[in-house]
Amino acid sequence: MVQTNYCDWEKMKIRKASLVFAIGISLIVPASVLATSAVAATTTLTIESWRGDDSVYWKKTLIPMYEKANPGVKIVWAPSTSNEYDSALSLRFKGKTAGDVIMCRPYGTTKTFIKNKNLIPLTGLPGLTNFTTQSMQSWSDASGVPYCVPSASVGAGFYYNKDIFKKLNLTPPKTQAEFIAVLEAIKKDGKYTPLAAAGTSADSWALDQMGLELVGPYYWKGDAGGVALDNGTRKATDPEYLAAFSALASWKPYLPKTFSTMGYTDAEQLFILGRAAILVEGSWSVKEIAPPGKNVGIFGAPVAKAGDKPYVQVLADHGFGVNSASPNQAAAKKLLTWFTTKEFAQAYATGLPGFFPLSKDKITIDNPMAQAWLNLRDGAIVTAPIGMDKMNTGTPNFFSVMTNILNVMMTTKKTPAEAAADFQKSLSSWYPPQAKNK
Amino acid sequence: MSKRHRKLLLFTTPALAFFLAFAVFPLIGTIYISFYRETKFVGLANFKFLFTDETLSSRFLSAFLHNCEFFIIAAAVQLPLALLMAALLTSGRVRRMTGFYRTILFIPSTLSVVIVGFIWRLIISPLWGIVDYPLLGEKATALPTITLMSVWQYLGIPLVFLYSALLAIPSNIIEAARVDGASDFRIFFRIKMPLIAPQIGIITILTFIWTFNGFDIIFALNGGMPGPDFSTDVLGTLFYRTFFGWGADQGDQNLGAATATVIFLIILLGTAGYFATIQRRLKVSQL
Repeated sequence: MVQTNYCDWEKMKIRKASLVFAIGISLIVPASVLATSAVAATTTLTIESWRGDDSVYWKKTLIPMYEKANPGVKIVWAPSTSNEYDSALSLRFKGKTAGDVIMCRPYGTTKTFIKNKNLIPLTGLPGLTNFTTQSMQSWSDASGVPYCVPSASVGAGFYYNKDIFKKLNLTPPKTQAEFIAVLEAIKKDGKYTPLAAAGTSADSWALDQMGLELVGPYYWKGDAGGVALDNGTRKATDPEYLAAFSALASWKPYLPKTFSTMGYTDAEQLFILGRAAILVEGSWSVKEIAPPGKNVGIFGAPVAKAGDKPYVQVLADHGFGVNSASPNQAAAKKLLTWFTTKEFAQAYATGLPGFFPLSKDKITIDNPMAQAWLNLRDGAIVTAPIGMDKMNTGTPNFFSVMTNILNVMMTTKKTPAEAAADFQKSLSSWYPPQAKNK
Repeated sequence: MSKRHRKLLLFTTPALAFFLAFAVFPLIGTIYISFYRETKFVGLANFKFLFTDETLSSRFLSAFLHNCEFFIIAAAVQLPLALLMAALLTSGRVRRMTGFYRTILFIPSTLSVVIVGFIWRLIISPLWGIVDYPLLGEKATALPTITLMSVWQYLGIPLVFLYSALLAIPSNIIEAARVDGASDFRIFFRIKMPLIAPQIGIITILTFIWTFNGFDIIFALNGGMPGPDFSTDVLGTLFYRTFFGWGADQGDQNLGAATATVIFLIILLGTAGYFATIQRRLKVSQL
């Protein structure tokens, strides 16, 4: 009897609890609906990006800066993985779920998005006059209509450990012969890996952007060589391109013996730990590689003859455009206008050293290492990477083919001549201007 | 409908609904879009492109061969190893802590593939690890290395299958054999093996399905263009690259669906062929 009573009471308790729960839910749901409709009065802008590394700076500094000056606007920073960005974004464009503001790659996929009318033309956007036509071209259509606000450029080169150089009595090389001599001296000493670089297939982009495109422009004479390849007047097996492949291949004896399994971050670690004397890298990792207090220096791509003018690759890295399917285009354009200002460029350069604003404003770079990167451009011929514009639009994609070929050349016995021939074969298989150069 | 049937329906409906919604429907959907280009019906054009395009067809063939290699190494290493461990654990020769061994052998199967890949990459990293040879960086060793990582991780699954099958053998026949003077080896090969033969068949076919669907550990280690020079590219990663794209390469959903359909057919034919020829002939020995 007592037992049954107890059970009934227990059941009643459960019933009571579920009643309270139901009432609670019925109170919360309308409240939250009300809350969201209150928030909906503000405009939310989502920025699509592949720069997950910069999230903290965007969320803590850049976005609050804008939100404070523009009440009623809420900005969401939504980064994807770099390797998946292009394909994920194109799927989101197709499904109409892409964010309002789009971070644009230079050339390549951005040109595809322009062709598919995924981005809106920015003609007449106040502040665009702040940029040179040259820095606009990687984000414009064939007739020169701009689609993205240029935001930052980067460069590639060599970091070197000053302590090791001092100990072995070495100076940063200027010519290819000096470069090899320095590497040879470090190798002979035997204590350090002469040159750290990424060699895994997953990170093979590095061998292109911070390899062939770093040492090559000197041999193929910068932009002229890029145009000649684009037009089909020259082919990749011609001497000037072959020399570039050979210059890259000349690193082979000095790479770590485990190069083929060395990822991008492994190579960085090897250098940071002081086990490698030289690291081939980009300006974007200034903060990681050369924090204040590290005795690290920078030198650019070596030239063949002493006294020759060096070429420095300036890679337009990213800009910002507006999704044509966005319901908040006016607000997005207003944000883009802010991206053209000196205030934004200065904040960007200060918080993200190694990314150099593309605007004409005079920006002070307070990070000495970032300034050292910028100094590489003094007295040098500035050039853009080859192949990124026209050759990057087909299948197989120029960049995928090139990175794989370079990876094979650097990790196996494949010669520069074979690598150049492989590349030319792929190019002439689909790229019309090169079709006759089989 | 009898009450019993109604009850059966009640219990199977949720699982059936899930299975239909998340396995059958996507499968049919995939096959459906593999016959289309955007919104236009193109018949077998996607399949034709897959098998005739110079780059793609050679990638497909090499991915298929890598899958075969993956399967052969996994089956040849994992099955004997699992059998040995299960036989040891049930032999009565391991006197203490069988539960402990069983648990630690099974634990890796519960870990995330990403973690397994990461740990093993550090262990065999020439920079930090125990071998001074770029195992993952050489074309000849990369795929076997990854396969062995996977074998290490999933050893526990066939182990548990075989372990329970061996436990199920009545001890009186083993004792009878022992009384008759049979050695341990003879008991194992003449009595235990025939009794667990169907289990070995099932494990082989599960390994086949699992390796031909393989994707995760390779993707976790080498990304969407698994190198060096595509030497670890399997059908799963090839499908991912075609369907979703990788780096600057854009995905092609219709071509990707065609690739997925072909992979499905390969697994279907392999499994059906196996059941029709081998599994049917494996007789469960009557006690």
